[in-house]
Amino acid sequence: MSRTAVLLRAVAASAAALALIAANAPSAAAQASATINATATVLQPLNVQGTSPLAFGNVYPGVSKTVAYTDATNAGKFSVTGYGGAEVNISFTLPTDLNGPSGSTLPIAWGTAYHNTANSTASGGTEFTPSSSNTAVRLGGTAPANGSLYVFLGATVTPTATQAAGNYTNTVTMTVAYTGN
Amino acid sequence: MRPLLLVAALAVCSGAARLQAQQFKVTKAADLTFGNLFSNVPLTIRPTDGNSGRYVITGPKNKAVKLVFTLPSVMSSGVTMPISFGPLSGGYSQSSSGSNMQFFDPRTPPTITLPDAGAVYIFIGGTVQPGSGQRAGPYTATILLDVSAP
Repeated sequence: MSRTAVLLRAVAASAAALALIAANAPSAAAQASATINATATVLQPLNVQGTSPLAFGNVYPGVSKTVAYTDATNAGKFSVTGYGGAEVNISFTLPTDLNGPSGSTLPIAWGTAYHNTANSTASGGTEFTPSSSNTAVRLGGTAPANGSLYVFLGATVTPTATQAAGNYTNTVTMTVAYTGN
Repeated sequence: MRPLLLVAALAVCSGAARLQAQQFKVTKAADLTFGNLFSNVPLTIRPTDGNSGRYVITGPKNKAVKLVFTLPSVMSSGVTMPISFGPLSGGYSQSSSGSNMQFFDPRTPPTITLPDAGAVYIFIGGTVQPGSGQRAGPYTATILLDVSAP
């Protein structure tokens, strides 16, 4: 075999080896990528309902009347359902008067309220002062099942001696929001 | 003849070495996990948090690499939920624990240099904002990290 032939064979073998190595090398020489997932689970939304109005019934001029939160018939009541065991903030928009005929107003003062995970004011709950500030409360139940909360309101109306006769009403709004805890 | 063969063999090895030196790799290490969310309660996961998303980049030491993220604007579950990223949502560290983390904005492709150890850990956080009436259920999105030589 001539010297030139040997040289050519060596070069050919080298080229083949280079091609083999290049073919086996990972292709991500200049660029590589990977993905991850972002995951989240949104839990059951809160449901809030005013289930019983705060009812004072007949009120006489000059005679204050109080409905306590323990009054099973006349106390105001809200019910809340949501993610079991979750903490929520509750706050209120409380009127200072009830509105009556011909622009008449009847002063109302808010008394002690009560929240309970059971639909009862007998035991197991906590008294609190309703206000526009947040009160942190925990729903009953155990996740992932739904849980409940019941809020009972009482108040006192104070009609004057010359209070105009007629029906008086106003609205109490309770706002409930998850705290994330 | 032998010197010629030796030269040819060295040429082959040199070519392989150049290919190897250019190579780097990205792998997923962990998903970005927000866990349980309540409607109307935003949640932010920081890169330093244990449930941040994580990648590992390996390659030749001291090599500069450019990180380009393809970031989602929503997570999906039949309906959508906004997800966002900010100036401190990204971080990188030489340690898988994230010690001495350097922060970056994943919305702006950063260029980092692979350390002597040849591996760098990328951490990604974000913020989700469920609406007040956000439908309950599992939500997902995908975050793509593309790494290239700058």
